[in-house]
Amino acid sequence: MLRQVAVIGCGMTKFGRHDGKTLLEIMVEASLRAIDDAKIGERDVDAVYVSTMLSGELSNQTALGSALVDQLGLMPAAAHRLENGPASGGSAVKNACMAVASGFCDLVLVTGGEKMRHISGDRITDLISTMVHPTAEYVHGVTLPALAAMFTRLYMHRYGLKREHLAKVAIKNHANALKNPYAHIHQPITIEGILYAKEAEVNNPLVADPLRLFDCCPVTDGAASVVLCAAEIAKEFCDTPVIVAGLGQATDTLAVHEREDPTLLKAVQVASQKAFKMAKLTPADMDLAELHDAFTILEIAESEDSGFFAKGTGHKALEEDVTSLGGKLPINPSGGLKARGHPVGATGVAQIVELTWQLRGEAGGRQVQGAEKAYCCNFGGFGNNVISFVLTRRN
Amino acid sequence: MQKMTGFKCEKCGKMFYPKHARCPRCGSLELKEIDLGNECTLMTYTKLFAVPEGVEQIPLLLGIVEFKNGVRALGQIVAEEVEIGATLQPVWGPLRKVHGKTVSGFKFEPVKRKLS
Amino acid sequence: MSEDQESILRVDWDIPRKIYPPKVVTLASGEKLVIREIERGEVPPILEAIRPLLTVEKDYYDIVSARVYAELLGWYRYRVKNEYCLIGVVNGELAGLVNNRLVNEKVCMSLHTLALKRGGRIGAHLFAAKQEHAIENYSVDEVWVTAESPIGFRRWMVEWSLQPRPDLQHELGGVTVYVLTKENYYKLKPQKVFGERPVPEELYKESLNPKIIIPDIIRQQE
Repeated sequence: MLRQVAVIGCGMTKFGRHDGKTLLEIMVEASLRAIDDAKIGERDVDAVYVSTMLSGELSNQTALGSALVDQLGLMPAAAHRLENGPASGGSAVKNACMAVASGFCDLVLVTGGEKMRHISGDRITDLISTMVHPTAEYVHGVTLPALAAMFTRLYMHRYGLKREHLAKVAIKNHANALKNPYAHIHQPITIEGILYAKEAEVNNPLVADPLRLFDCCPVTDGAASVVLCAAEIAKEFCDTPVIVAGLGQATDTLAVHEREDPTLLKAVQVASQKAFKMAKLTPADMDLAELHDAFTILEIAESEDSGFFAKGTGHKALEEDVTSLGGKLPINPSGGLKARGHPVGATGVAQIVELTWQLRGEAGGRQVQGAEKAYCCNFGGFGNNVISFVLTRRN
Repeated sequence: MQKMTGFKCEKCGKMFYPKHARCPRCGSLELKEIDLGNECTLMTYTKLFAVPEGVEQIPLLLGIVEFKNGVRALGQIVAEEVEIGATLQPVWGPLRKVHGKTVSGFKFEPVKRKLS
Repeated sequence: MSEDQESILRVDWDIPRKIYPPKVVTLASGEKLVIREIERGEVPPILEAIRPLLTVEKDYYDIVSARVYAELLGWYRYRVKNEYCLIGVVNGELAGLVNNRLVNEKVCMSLHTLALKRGGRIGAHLFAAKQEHAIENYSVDEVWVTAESPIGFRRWMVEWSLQPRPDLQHELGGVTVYVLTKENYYKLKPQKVFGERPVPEELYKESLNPKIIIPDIIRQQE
């Protein structure tokens, strides 16, 4: 990058259910927290990037960039709304980084949000599936859980992954979320209750065989926000700026069946390689990672394709607690999409927020001790548009 | 009877489904429609219980198949149970409703072997 | 009201009453849900538990709780006959309740399902238990079910694949009756009806005077 970018402020709403508030209102709440955290005072914000996937369809509002600058009184700052499926948040952060790195802007605000809980399950499932291939997937009744399920079956077939591994991702992330006051789901779960007991059939019903309820992220309302600035001026605002050391983005075929190896998340591979290369770091240098576990299988697959573990061995690392809090590489200390929740447009921003809190040592009960370098991966479509970041703490 | 078709690049020979504006391998615009054949193998599948608005069948069986020429496609499977490796054939029929209108397309059903 | 009417109502049960054998269900959290039938005399504290929900509009809690309140009060004061109520208790706390009414020896009217603790599929287990009681213990031929909320519709009509029977009239409102037949129940039983018997003594004791909790739906609003 031409010049380095720093994260100097972050904020979130609680993820969960926000009845009685509009999408814009929750975005304002998260933005105010980030602005407050960044201590930018009267300084002008040069640009605002808003990420949301379905604001038009679900909240009857579009062009949210303009609405947010108006609410926050940030005019005449440039304003954008960015839609890139579930990678909208990562895309917004990335474009904001570009704006700062290029010298075009010094101070920018990125806010992602979604309100989706007020809609019936089958309607939201349909709206989300509009991101898949229109003629080769959508018209056949395909949903994101269906794609994830077919991916999982192939994975099990090929790599000996078992239902226990999927359950373990859910149990771990639910446990982590109990330590995250912003998380949507605060519910401990046990292998007995979701898998082994006969009652598991009711407790944890099939969504898309072999994936069950607890393999899928919940439908969540929420917003997350970060303030970015040129690293050279970051010390004016805070003592420990977090540096965007690397970022990478890559795409893959829209239709999953067209991938040479459908169990390989090539876009994750390429995006992470780019991010690590830019940061001049390797996966082994990372102290923690936030991965896009919209489905439990994705945490395992992304942990491999991001370069942390060899293909087909992610579930072994999970088994050995390498990815638990206290392990060598904690994954999703926030609870991940699985338990922190997945307000689609907010997720990529929330990952940056969690990494920043972790690198500043402000993550409370889920703090990864001494974390200095962290990675996140925001996964769009079913892996057709992926953005990865490497963040580091500057002391 | 309608045949399920894919595409072949006249320049580099790459075969694919669905259609792309340019050949995914060489970028050529010279693409020819090809017959995908009557037999394919099931690669992976799911029984979908949480169906989207517009789908009435619960569970909906979905799978990815591979034709003999290596081209793959995704579609509904007209069966109660299936297994990876099953031999299927494309059949035309209604798929789901989109904005209240029924959309049709190819689904896959198990090949009933004739006893010779 | 005539003496005759009063004497009809004063008979709490005019068909042979069966007691639901208590059972224990393991939840996703690993916690144990004890499901047992309550006696008429236990109604007053249950009414206390329901009262805070009467004004909660979210997810139709007001409608459902007002209906259950009236149904249980009616049973307690001998205005409703042949009604039974099962409660669910987790860690000694009242987690939810369900009720039904026997119309006659062949037909059971499904009334309400009210979850005080949410997100643990407690309603699903309780709903299954009250239909288990109707079909397995009372041996009715069918249970008539209706829904007053979209969540209810999805849960019961769709998940239990109930059949609409527009010719019938439910005791609640005017929406279509969906029927759970004996045949359908036994077909779905392996996937829907769970629980171990007998309930370990300690757990059962815990369920006898359950603590009244602030319902999740209210806690989440605060």
